[in-house]
Amino acid sequence: MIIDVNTSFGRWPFQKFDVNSAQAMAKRLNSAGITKALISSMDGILYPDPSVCNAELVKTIKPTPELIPVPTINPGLANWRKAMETSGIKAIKIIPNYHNYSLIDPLLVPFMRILASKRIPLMIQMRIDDERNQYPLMKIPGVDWRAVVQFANAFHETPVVCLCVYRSEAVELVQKTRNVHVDISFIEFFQTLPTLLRSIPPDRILFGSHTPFLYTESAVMKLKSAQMKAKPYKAIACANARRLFNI
Amino acid sequence: MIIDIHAHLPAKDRGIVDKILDESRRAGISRICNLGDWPYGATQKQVVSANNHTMRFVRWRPDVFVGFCFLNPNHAKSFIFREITRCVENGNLKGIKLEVETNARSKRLDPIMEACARLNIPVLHHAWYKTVGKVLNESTPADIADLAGRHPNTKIIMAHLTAAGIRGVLDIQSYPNVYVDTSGSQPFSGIIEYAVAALGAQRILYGSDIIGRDFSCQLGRVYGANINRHDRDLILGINAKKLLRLP
Repeated sequence: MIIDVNTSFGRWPFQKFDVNSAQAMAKRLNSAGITKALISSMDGILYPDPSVCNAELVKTIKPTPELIPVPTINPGLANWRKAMETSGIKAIKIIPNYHNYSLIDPLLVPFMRILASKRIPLMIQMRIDDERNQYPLMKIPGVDWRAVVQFANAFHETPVVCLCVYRSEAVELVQKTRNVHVDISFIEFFQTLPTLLRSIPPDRILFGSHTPFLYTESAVMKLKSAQMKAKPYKAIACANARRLFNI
Repeated sequence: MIIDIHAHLPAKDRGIVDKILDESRRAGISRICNLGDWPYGATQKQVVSANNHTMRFVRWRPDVFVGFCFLNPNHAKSFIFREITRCVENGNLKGIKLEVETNARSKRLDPIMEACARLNIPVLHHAWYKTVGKVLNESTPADIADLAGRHPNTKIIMAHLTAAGIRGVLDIQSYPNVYVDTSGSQPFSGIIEYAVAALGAQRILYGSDIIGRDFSCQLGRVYGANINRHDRDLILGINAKKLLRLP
């Protein structure tokens, strides 16, 4: 069983995707061995009010219970409190670099207080793509891992999951905090997971494919080719996600 | 049969090379093309040393390793030709590797390209459309197209399909002497399908860019691409076998 903590659905101006319905998305993930996935709206990355896109996503994925919605919230908008009123939220995602705020901005203090009171984990989308390959007129640097360390330590009661981190960032983030977890979608080196596990413990690593931006099979093969013992394999594949998101 | 056309074996760490062999066997990779291990702006001494290592790898495991002769076109023509004679004509290497020191539009490449045409060996040339982090003289796919137009009788393998992107595929589309390898960046979806449609699968070669990457993740982008079995087999090995004239 694999739980994917990093998937998206919607439109993106720089790539064309062949998964155009929730059923097709679920089928794609399932064919790669992924039984459940946390999913966010891709449209909410660029559309000025992500809550509109969150509502659309919930409606779209209703026939596919294996897809679990993760609302994207921009704490810089006036409606962020309302967006957090939905019950049963498993996680909330923020995209600071695309929504143009810093993690050390005071506007995050009330947001994080509510998150802590509701015991909801926070996902930080560190980047969407490889900065080197971005459209030249839309350069969006990745979120600075140093700011994440400062932020995560300041709000240490809330679990933070950083998505699309590079290996060096993953090591720094996990070693310098107690509450940051990372997904494997962007982490790559020869023998990715055995190498990573020499630096950080398996209970801080989550399976994430970044589908459909990336080929799902790449993350799955990264996981399955790693010669790991059953316990760390299970932790990364699903147990950590189950525990963190109460799935 | 899987042939990895783009690998960098660490010259001085046989332990890692043993692990690479083990990992490649598990991934079903039968041949690995070593492009060498050298610093930016390599000196003549460093070029000789890198090529010695590659030739040693091929002598050690000729059943697995194939090697390319690394050259820095900024060196004297006499040295470059001595190295081609030593490593290709009298040695066991099957192609030339050019990196970022000299732009592909430079006339300094012409004698090398002419020698490759005479010897009927391919040149694997780095290319990338970089939004950030571009290195001095680094070539783009448009530069490779210029080189291909000047040397229509030389076969060129342009490295890094994902980094070339759609624009890069279009750059080389009308140059049938240019192939592209699948390595580079994260396994972003859609580009293999686009390249197959625009170039034909017979011009695409699987490459991992190991040791900085992972066989599993890089194979995942080929297995995950929505292409037919025949095209996949061409990309994974048949094209490289033909191009490198392997038994």
